[in-house]
Amino acid sequence: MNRWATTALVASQLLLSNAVFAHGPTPQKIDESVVIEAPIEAVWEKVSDFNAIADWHPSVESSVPTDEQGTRVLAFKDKGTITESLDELDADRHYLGYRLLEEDIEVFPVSFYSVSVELTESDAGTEMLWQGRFYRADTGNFPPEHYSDEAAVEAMTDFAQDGMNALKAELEGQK
Amino acid sequence: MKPLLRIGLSSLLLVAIPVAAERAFLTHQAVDRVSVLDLEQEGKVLAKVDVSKAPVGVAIDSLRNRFYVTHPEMGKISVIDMTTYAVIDEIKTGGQPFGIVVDDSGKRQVFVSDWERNAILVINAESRLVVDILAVGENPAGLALDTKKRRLYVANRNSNTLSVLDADRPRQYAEVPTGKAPYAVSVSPDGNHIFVTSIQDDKLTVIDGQSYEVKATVETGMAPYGVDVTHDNSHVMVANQGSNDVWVFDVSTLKKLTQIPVGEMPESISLSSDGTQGFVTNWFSNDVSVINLETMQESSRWKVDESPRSLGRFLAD
Repeated sequence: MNRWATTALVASQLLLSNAVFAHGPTPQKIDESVVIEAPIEAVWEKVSDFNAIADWHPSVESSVPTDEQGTRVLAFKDKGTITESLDELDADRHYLGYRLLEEDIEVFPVSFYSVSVELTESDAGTEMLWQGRFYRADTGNFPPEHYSDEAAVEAMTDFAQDGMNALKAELEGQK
Repeated sequence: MKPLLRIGLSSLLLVAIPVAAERAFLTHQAVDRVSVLDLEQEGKVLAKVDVSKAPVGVAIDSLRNRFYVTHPEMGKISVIDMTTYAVIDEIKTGGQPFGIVVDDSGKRQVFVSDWERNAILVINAESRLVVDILAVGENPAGLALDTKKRRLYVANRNSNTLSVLDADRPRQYAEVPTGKAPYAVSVSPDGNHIFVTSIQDDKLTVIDGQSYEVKATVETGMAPYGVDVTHDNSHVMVANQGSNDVWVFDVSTLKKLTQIPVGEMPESISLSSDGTQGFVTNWFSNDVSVINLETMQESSRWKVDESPRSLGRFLAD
């Protein structure tokens, strides 16, 4: 019953744990959007195929489904892989949500994220919204610069913008 | 004295007078600020308090007219006066203080979960010193305290368990299995049920408040975070971060009664002790949803500062 230690003020023993956890106490957010001059269904056709991201995202070399349904392994050029899993795909709302299942902070400096991509019709065509909640690579209190909140925000922002801009260029070029 | 009269008197004395919540205390982790809303004036901002980096957890200490906010990034806790809204002290804890709860029984203690050191910190509310460090599961997050039964409940995020601790002595009664990645915990006012949300498998674990056995596991919306129970023990409400809604369950049948759309990525939920209103912090859309507990509908949505979180009970009655 009384199996726990009362280490009154002997904090030094507890300070030893400085492991990198998959989730930390401080989430960050991105909220990016791009207007694509293309019909919503044309954009949705690209975005909704969970394993077709490598066809349009310039940073993703390949996307391979795993045995587990709704998961994809993304390979980044000359870097390595991370695995994502699909949470929700709603064709009526033109919405998909997914999360990071297996991180590799050497490949992508974020320890966990959940992302949603949503399309809405606009005057010019389609507004594409890319939102995310995520944690830096090293969730301890003294992260090195390349594992910091800033590095995570930059990586998430760039990934969203690069993807949406490439999609925009491709779909608008086809007009 | 006749027994009848005595019963009448004592029951009168024991009746707590329900009061409407007056203020909400919001932590804005991204902008190092706390805001105080007047709930009787449609969320009018009474104060914006600049605090140390990245505040998350909040707890009201009505006995001492203060509230506390945790700063996991800084290893400290801000102590803020409830009248002047001045930061009157910072308690240095080390580690990553996260969830926090005040012992309202009058005993001079505040409990804090330390995410990084897998521990509960016990702080003397008068001396503002850490007086004990108690080992629990991995990455403890949400806390709930039953001041009458003298139990502290701790959701251990990475151990997938709930620790049941004695609130007065260093003793653990149970470590109960929960769903995957338990985050928030709430105990019904009568102490009979403990509810734990688990983010990664979209579940609410219902634990018996006497035996500490799992009574049921209930499906929730996507990524459930905050949870609270109505003052009359009849309903439990869960804020789902992934599906942007609050699900309402009947406590006796554990059936889902309704779902209430709220803002984006809701995080914490606190219900007023008079049973009229619930409040939800919407982390992504930077607003607070007000829920009418009679109709179980969102009655208004107030714009607030960036990224409100407020892990813990964030209402002052």
